[in-house]
Amino acid sequence: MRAALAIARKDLQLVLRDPAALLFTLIVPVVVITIVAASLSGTDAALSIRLPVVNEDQGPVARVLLEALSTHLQVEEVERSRAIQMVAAEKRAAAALVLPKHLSKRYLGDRPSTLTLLTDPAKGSELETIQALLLVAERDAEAIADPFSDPLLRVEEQSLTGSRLTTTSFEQNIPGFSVMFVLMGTLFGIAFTFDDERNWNTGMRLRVAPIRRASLLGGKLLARYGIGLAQMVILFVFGHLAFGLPLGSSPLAFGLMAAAVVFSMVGFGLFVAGFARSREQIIPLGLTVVMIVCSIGGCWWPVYVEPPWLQRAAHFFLTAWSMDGLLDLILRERGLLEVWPTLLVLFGYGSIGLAAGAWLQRFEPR
Amino acid sequence: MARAWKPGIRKRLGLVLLVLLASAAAPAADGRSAEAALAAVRETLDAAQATVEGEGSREEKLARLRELSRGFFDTDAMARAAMGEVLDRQSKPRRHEFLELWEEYVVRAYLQKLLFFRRPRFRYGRPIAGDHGFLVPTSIQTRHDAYSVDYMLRWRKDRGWLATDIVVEGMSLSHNLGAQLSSLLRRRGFEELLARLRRKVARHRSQEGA
Repeated sequence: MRAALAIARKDLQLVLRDPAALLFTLIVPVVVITIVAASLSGTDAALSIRLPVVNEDQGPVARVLLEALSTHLQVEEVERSRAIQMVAAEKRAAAALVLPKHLSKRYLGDRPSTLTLLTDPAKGSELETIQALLLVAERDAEAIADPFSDPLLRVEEQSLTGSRLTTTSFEQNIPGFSVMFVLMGTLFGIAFTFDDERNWNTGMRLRVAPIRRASLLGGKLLARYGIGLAQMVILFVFGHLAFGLPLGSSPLAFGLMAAAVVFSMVGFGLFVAGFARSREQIIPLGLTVVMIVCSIGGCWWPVYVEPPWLQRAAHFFLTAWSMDGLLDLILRERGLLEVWPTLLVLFGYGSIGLAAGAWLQRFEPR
Repeated sequence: MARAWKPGIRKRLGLVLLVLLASAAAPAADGRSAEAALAAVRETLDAAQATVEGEGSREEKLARLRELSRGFFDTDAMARAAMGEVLDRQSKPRRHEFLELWEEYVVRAYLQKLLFFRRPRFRYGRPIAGDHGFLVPTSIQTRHDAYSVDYMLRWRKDRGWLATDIVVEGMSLSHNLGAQLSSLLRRRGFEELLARLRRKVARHRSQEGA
């Protein structure tokens, strides 16, 4: 017993010798729990959903419908062109509702009308919420409709961002978890590589060898980049074959996007690895960072379900941009011409990460 | 002298009597005029507007509007126009229940259409004479548009001018409901019709309560 206690005391002393590692071990669950709680609760999810409305009617029935919808959603009356821009280009809304001309006149005269819902099916769950709330609003407004006739309001959906009107959960989850695992592998891979160099003192030997520091760093990162890219492609091909995950209409765009995503991960991984001074620090630091950027960045759930402030914060991280780009290709069937701004951001992110990470990285033995 | 005045007095008395009779008969004739029909619609809609814009809770306003509408609509006539002989073939209690539900249903349907307008501004057209009364054209003005609501009025000795139909944006309420009821009657029969009406009115009541 005494021996066991002595060993325990020695191990505790070893752990306490690295307070940074201890701190990370403690703060990981606190930070992750806080972020998950902030993302998934605390606000009425539906109330943060924006619904642009093109009110071509301007009549009393449209007003009642809008009032009913406003109790559940952020309703904004806009012009048709602005509504299309908000849904298709800016991705600020999952759908826009068009209330046609003479809706009130037809409704009051007991003649049916068709409302058009211009959708972005890539925002699946948000779209489902809007559809359900629209049904409630219709029922509210249709309290006058009699039990014998057909409904006076019909909703017709038109996708603005692709050929499909619905998406599956695989199409959100497979890209999300693929990004997470590739990021995890890349970040830990880079951090452990440099830690090994420190522990084995090989870093010192390499520094005196006749090769430039940039070549040394570049070679190590290139290997990690190749592994990450292969992992990413394999995961998506598996998703495609096993779960029917679409890979978009342009293989070139998909290839470039995967390359950009992994490049940003390598830069980010090098940067984060620069903060870890020991193996004990790498694991909690890496886990904290990966969990935070993946949860906020839309790998675990869509970014649009988060509160607006967190959605804005999400785009400080590579994961939000990666998910935007991949979902643009997969769900919105966009081509290279439409996703190039995201590619630029990801390559830029990776470049800045590499520069900052190279500066932070040290090869000196401890 | 008194004799000399007699024929004159008689003549004058006769004239006074005639004037009195004429003046007594005049309100009845005026009451059935186009102006009176228009006045009946205007009076009801003015009262409705005052209720909508006046003080009171939503429930109080609805109750007041319902009372106003009940006094203005001849829902029995509407029901008979819609149902025809089928209604007469029913037992007295069932007929009574149907007419009660029908009244509530029609009044609510009309009021809910009216309540789409937050601050209704009514305009009145010249009444048009028909076979059985007058059609009083009105419209509800909004900032962007005008919505036509025409009232078909029929004179009832005991209750004055009553609306037997309302035509909203060209669609007759009686005709529309009648067509739907006839179709349901043919397919399902009176019992099912009554059951659906019961359910609908109950739903209206619960929505109102909520």
